[in-house]
Amino acid sequence: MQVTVSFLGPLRDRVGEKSLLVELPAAATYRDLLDSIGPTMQARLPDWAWDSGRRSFSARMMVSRNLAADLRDETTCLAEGDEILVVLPLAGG
Amino acid sequence: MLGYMGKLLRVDLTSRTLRDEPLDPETARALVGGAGYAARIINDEVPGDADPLGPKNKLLFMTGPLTATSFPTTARYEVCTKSPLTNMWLDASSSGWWARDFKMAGYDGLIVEGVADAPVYLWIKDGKAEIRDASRLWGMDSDETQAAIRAELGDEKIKVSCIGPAGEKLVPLGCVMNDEQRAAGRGGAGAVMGSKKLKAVAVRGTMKVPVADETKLREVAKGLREGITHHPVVSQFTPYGTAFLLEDGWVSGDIPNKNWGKGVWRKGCELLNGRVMAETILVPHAACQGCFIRCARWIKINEGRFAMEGPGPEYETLAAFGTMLMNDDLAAVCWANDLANRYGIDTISTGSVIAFAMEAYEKGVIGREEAGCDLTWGNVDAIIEMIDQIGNARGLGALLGKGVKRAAAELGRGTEAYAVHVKGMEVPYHDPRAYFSQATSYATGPRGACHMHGASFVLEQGAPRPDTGIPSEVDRFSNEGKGILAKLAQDKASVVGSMVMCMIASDGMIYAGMADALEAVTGEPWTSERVAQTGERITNLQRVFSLKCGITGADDTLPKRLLEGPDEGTHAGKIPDLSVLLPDYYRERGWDENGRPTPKKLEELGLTDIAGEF
Ligand code: SF4
Repeated sequence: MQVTVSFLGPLRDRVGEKSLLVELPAAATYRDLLDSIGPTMQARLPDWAWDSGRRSFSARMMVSRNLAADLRDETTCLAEGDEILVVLPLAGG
Repeated sequence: MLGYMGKLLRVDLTSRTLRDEPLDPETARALVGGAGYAARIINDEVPGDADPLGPKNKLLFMTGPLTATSFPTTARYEVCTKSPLTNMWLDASSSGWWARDFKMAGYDGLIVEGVADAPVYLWIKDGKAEIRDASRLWGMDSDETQAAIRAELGDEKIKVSCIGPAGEKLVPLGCVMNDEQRAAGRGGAGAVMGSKKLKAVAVRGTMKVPVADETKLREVAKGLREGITHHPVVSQFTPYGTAFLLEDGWVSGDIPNKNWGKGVWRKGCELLNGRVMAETILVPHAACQGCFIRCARWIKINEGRFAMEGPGPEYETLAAFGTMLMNDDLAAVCWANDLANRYGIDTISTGSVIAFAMEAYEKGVIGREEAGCDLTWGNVDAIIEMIDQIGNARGLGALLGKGVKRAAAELGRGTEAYAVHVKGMEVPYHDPRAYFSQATSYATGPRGACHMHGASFVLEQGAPRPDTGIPSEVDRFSNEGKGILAKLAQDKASVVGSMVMCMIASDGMIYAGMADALEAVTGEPWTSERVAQTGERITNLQRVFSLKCGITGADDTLPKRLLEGPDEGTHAGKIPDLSVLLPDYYRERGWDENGRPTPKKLEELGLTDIAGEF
């Protein structure tokens, strides 16, 4: 199945792309997605965005699946066509 | 006293007299300057029951010890008064250039009292001040006023703080404008200025501010600059302005849409954000004096009906005339922003009252004839027409210009349910249902719902805050432990508004850095603890004035719309619980269950003299 990982704001600049289309086996979990994109994230994102120890987005990032509740549970099953949104929550004027 | 010019200018417009009076060093030590020092004067001199638009109200323009020094982002001033929008404490700050010239003209602050019998303006240059006739200027917009005064006085370097037609017509959304459409925007200070028939304050200053340790001050500034350059959030302000927030703020649910009735509007945010602006209409231009962050926008639209060049909208205005009204036309937002600034009306409140009117129109409470236009969501012609009506206090705009609280009270028919304000102040555009501490900050904000006086949601976004002891991971939807966040954010804002520096730059500073800056300028011993306690003292003093004006703990609440869960988004269905949030906040503040500072708290803060006043 395919899921899209969308990067917004400063993350988009760091990753160098607006989104990544990721191919995953059926019934893949959020952990599987993190393992799949981990090397790319490790190479492109700074420490405040990617936690290499946990092999996951850092606690400061907000990750959401299809704009539902915040996604933290790594056992969450993903589905074909999912959009995983990754943002650095930002303050602003 | 180092860091200060040592005097205030007091102008009585009724008798047309001007006099210098010395800055009180004890007050400056306790409350620094800016909105802190002003809180003392207003508490002492403005009766709680004073009519905000009457002769007993006073209007203060205040700088702080950092103003006009080499420290960046400090060409800022605070306009303080009793608000005609909320009938309580008001401080509204503005950046640009004006404050630097004002202080270098020899004054830390200006106190305006009384009412002139005809339009006047003040002209202050290097220690000399005079009252001049402004009949010729009355009716001019804020840009025209500045140009006309410079021409009249024959000096292009003169800086002008002024009102547009809205302030003259006593519109409670009227603001004070200066330089390139910078605004002391919120709460109606422009209407107070108009009530005194004071059209403008023109300044030119070449005097030097005495600084205790210039080398140290430059070192602190260097540290701030380096910190911000590498700060993942604050560094976004340079390329994209505050509008960067629209690019991804919709994911957290921070951005309101359709008069707070729609949880997410991705399309609108994708068309209105700072990156889009940077890629299409942004052109290089100077920002505020001495600022390396340069969030201010300058835009050029080459074609179409909204072709223009000038200051561009920042985040709040893009939300006000964009997402709140379901308008995704960036050029139209720029046009609306320019129009509102020329009339001198607060863009945040103006967007909010138009959104309210659009909802009332949709529900059939307001008809087309009454509105004078088709007030459907996203209709840019209607948005521009309503700004014109509000700025000129005509038609439906005359009602809307009073703010949503009064508009709903006069319209009735259930409109209160979607009049989104706290104590009469329209809520700025960070949704408290996405970050629950913001519910507390809005409900208790010193000037009503305000993000400038307590952006506590920032403390829920996981950024490390080594100075506060707050854990970096905070559950944004929890009602527990949010009182301390609101208190910290409000008190920090109180210090920032007294120093006086830009809120955006202060986000890159911790208390220790603020203490270092104050110590370098004043030569006084400053510590993180003293900064924190000073902030608390100022917030309490402002609260006491509002209590004297008649607000009570019952006014510390949120409007109905914000106590309904959003329909979609990561914050769908989330509702902050004020019955948990407020007692926690009062406890953290040392206030009683009715939101009144206890005698013990006032004693701790050195404010015993006002204990019996409310
Ligand atoms: S950060 Fe923005 S508002 Fe603040 S002083 Fe700089 S340009 Fe002005």
